Amino acid sequence: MNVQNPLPAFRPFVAAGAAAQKPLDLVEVRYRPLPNAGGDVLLTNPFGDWVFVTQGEMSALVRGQLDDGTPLHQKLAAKNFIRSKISVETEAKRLARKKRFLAYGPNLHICVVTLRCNETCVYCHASRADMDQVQTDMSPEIGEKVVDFMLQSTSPGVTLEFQGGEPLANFPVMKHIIEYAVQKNRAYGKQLDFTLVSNLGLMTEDKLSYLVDHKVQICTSIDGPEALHTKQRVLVGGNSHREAARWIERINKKYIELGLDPTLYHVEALLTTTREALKYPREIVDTYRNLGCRAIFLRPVDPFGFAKKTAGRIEYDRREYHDFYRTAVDHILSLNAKGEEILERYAAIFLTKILMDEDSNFLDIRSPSGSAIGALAYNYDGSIFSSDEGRMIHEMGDDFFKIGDVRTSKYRDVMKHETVRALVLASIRETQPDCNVCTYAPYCGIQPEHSYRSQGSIFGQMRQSTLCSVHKGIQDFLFEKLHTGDASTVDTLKRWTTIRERSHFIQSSAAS
Amino acid sequence: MIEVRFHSSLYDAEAVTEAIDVYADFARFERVGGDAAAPYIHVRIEASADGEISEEDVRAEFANYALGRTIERRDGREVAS
Amino acid sequence: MSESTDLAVSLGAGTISFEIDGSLYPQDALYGAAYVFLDRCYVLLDRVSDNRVRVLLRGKTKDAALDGDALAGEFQNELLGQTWRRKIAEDNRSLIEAITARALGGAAGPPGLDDLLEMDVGSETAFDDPLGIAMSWEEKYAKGKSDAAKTAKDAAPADAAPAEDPPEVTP
Repeated sequence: MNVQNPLPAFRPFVAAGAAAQKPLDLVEVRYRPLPNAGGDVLLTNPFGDWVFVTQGEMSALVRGQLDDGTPLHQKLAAKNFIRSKISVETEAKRLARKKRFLAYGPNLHICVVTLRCNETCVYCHASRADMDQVQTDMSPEIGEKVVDFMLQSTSPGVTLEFQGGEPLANFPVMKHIIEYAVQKNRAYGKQLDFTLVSNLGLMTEDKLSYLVDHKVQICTSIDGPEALHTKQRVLVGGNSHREAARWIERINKKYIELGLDPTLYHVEALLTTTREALKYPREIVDTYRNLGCRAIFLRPVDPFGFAKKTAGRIEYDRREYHDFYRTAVDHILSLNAKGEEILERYAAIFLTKILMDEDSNFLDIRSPSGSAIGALAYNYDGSIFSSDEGRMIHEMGDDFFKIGDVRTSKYRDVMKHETVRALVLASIRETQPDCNVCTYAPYCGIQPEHSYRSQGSIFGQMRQSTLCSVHKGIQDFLFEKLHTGDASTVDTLKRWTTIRERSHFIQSSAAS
Repeated sequence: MIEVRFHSSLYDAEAVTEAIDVYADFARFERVGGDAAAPYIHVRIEASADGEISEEDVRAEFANYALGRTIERRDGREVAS
Repeated sequence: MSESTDLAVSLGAGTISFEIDGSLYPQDALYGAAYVFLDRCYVLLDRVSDNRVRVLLRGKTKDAALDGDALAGEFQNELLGQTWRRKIAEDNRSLIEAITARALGGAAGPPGLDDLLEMDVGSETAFDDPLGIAMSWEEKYAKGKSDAAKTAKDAAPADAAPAEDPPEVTP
């Protein structure tokens, strides 16, 4: 069962009884007594401001007591919680800035150049094919149409991300797509960059030279220490962890040879947190450090791609995940306190919204979500999906998220597709039951594909959603850290919100 | 066989229909009475013969789903249906 | 228990039944409170009279933390809290609308020439809904329910233009 985190028993409304009344000049608020905040209550408003109040202060608010000039009034006024002191103009500008992603079409374009994969992973069955299944390779012609379609996006910047299967299994087509995109983009002048998501098992020096020469950013998957990684990712005739580690080191060295700053330019690695991984929070962090990674994304396992028969082996109660997350991030924070710079990405995404009043446009945690309007996924056969998760659901036999085909569809028709409209409606958190009263609504977001796969509806039922539980647990943890006021911890958390653009990977393009 | 009733001022009839569809694999559902003006929607539940899940458990899960969907429909997820 | 909740009756381990005065709370608040409990409890609502609603809560597990009195107290706090918060939200509705309209109003931009040329607005078509925006998504794409899909199709306006990229319905 995946229930929400237990919260402290604090019942100011029952205590107030008939004396409960609304304060007259308070903005709309949401409140949450955090599990480990000394009894204090977190208040947030729809603009993204937040403040802690004591239980006594909360009880006063419940009784409508908010007189001008009182310390509570001053405290709330300083944080934008007093309606008469709100500037519509200022708040509108803030909101427009944070939602500016709505002004553009999709910027992330995921291109599945093949389903073939040289590794077999416990959590990925439905969306891979054996190495002899060459009919699942994208053709050069389809690849060109993917590029043509991508460049139709109204986004001024586009990232073409190669995924699979294992993209390196269809390297000639990948090369063709890269060269075609660079050439074609000369007429568009978009900010174009390429990313490769690879297990690195098929990497060669020649391929690496090409990728580095063509400024393709390389990402891989590391599931933790060698024993865990190789158990979960089986490479026939080899050791998947050693191969990945060897190439990470080689690639990072290559970046240094190019004179790039190694703190910014290095192979990014992604973790999939399975049930087995929950036992090794510190070891996983240390594995990443030893590989030269400075960021770790503690993602829970997704319900996509794996067969039902393995779900029981890799899924888990989200409370176990919360314990894992807290232990791992506490370890990361302690390393930072000793001068080592390493961050956790989930935390960084939320903290950017919480501390910097910004939205880093992480597509799965925004409202509305980035499904289709922020990202598109192109399968090897040219079909277009609202996301890579939607494509995986297709590979499991369900075409809900198929919204077009590069051979026949027009960009505008895809963007106006009724499924896309439904995905937008379903992912506006402010209008969903439970989310509309959730303290974390200003910072949160849920991918509707996840709700569909795990709960049978794109709207989902957040109270029973594993992803909602994860997001609440992480934000509880972060606000508890902020509540401590510990200068070293707060400084570290603020530093995690710094966004440094990797400009080296942007293709030069001269619009003609 | 057991029965559950939903007051029509508290439960959305469409939500109850959706719940029946969702739980059809676990039990046989039968709406009792067809009077739209009646204050209650009565549903009879007969669990599948394999007895994997008890009728009481199906009823509880089914009723929860019907309530959840009622609230979701009311909160505007279903656009002007 | 407070004056607004009475007749709290324990029906056994982890189960409680109580009545609330429906005239004191908006139904939205009752629903909001009930929704919060759906992950931990089986929740059943029943109308006892015009103004009274019976709430039956049963814990999904036999967890000691789910004792009946605690559940009832927590439910009532949630109900009162939702009522309180909704009143404040109502006071702020116009402010939020003004901010949202000003922030997002221009994002979509005006329709382009292509949009205008593609429009075919006449007295007969002005209120059509060819994209089915006004229909529920579940109605249109009922998962694995061909009958439901057929119903949705049948319900579409007769003169609606067929979409170029017809929706996929999983059999």
